[in-house]
Amino acid sequence: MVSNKINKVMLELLGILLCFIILIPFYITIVNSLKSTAEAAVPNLRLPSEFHWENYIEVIKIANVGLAFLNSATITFISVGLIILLGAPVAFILQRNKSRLSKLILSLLLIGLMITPSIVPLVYVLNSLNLTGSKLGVILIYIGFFSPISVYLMHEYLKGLPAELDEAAIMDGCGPLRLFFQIIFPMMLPILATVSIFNFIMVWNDFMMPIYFLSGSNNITLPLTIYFFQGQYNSQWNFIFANVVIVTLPVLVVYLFAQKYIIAGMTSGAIKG
Amino acid sequence: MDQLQKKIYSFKLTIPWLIIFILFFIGPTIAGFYFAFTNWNLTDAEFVGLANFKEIFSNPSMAGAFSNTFTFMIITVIFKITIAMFLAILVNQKLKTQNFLRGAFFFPVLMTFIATGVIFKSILHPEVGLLNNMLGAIGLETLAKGWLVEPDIVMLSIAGIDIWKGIGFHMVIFLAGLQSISSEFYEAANIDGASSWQKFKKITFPLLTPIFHANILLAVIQGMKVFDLVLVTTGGGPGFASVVINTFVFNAFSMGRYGLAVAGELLLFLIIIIFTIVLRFFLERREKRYGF
Repeated sequence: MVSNKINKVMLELLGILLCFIILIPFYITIVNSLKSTAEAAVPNLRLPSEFHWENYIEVIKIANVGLAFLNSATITFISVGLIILLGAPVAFILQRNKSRLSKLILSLLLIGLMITPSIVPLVYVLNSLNLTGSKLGVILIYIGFFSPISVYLMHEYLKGLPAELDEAAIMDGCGPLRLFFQIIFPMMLPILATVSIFNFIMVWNDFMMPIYFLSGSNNITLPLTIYFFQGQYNSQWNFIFANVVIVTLPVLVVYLFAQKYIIAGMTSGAIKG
Repeated sequence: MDQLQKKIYSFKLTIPWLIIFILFFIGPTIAGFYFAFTNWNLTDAEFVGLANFKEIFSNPSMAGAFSNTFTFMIITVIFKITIAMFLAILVNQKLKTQNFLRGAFFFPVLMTFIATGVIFKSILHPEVGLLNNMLGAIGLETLAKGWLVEPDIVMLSIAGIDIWKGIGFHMVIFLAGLQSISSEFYEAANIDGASSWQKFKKITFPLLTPIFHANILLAVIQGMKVFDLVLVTTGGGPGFASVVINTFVFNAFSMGRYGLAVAGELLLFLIIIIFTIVLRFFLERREKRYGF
């Protein structure tokens, strides 16, 4: 029993040691983001001799963070909202209407889960729709790329909502739209939360679509600010790190509030996908 | 019921999503199969047969891109999976710091690859980087290296960054698997006086088989698709030392060589598909052996 306790303590210590190794990069980022440019020239573990909070204001100005934040927020919220709003009815119909067409759409969805989409030909699609370099274009791409897994997870969830529910609503005179949006949609809340938060993180952090398809400084997103900024301000680590903190902070806040849903999304998404 | 299905569960509600999905995912992906065989500049797509593929295979940077991508994939898969598995077992113990540790190990997953790359660019910097300075401080100057500028080790350094970022993701999946193992197995083993290692070898590891395989597949696919991390840390350099398939595609795209870029994408796509099928075949055989 005693050796068991010692083992526990050892494990605890091992865990804390490993967690230090994992967290050091974050520590460096935060500490050095608050130093003067000269002091941060050689980023180290020491605390700043003076806290330069104004670094953050400076970065927000020179890296165009305000606009980028607005763009990232717009793109993320609209993409995630539309993935839910357009995808949830699909999951519902595919679950309830078991016809040949339904099977066909479902297999298309499963193909979407398995293959890696081709990005370059999207240039052609965006060009012909006159959406080149626009936020709307990127939003539509996100819906196309990220929704298969979301629709699939919602479809699985709906198996647990019995069809008797629909029948009762129909008896009471519910039409198709009301049945879905008034009865079913609210009951999907847990899975909607999982899917939205999961998508939020993926879209917020994505760099590939913006670098391929969002040209022009008007459409800059947060990951792009880091990419361009570190190229220009090569050795001003204090500013570079401040930028990193600003971009990561919203995700951290969301994570702290919605841990449960993120983990649920990652595990079910990963294992089923 | 048929009548009802048509009216209440009408496919009309699926149309908006289907249009977007087909237009922005399925359609372009299929079109890519054609464009890969053309010299495509957005307005004209002249059919050139296998010319793009010939160019890729005769391109000196492309041979490097393939071997770099494979090296990266294999290293990251091995390390991510093993480390993640042991971390999951560790944080599955009833520790006081359990929740904190889980959160800490998982946190890198939430960062964008670009931020991760930038942070490690500073840590691995040859002159001002923390890693070399720390090695110097403890008298190991000889181990200090130009982690991201020496051609021999640059790919290993990038793999190291990706491992740091990715283990939390795999840990969480392992954790889900561990929690589905009934505690009765361990209780029985305790009565028989099994050691920790025996319990791991005879209970935990075999019962984790499906999760283990899911993790391997995910890590393989992720590894083959590496892009952002390379772009931000080295941009493919020095020379072509860290070019991967996706940065090659991006470069071809930036130069307006769309046909060539799609051909690169198509090759990556085919490699991933073949990998997945072959791997699934072996993993499924292994699962059957364990009785799943």
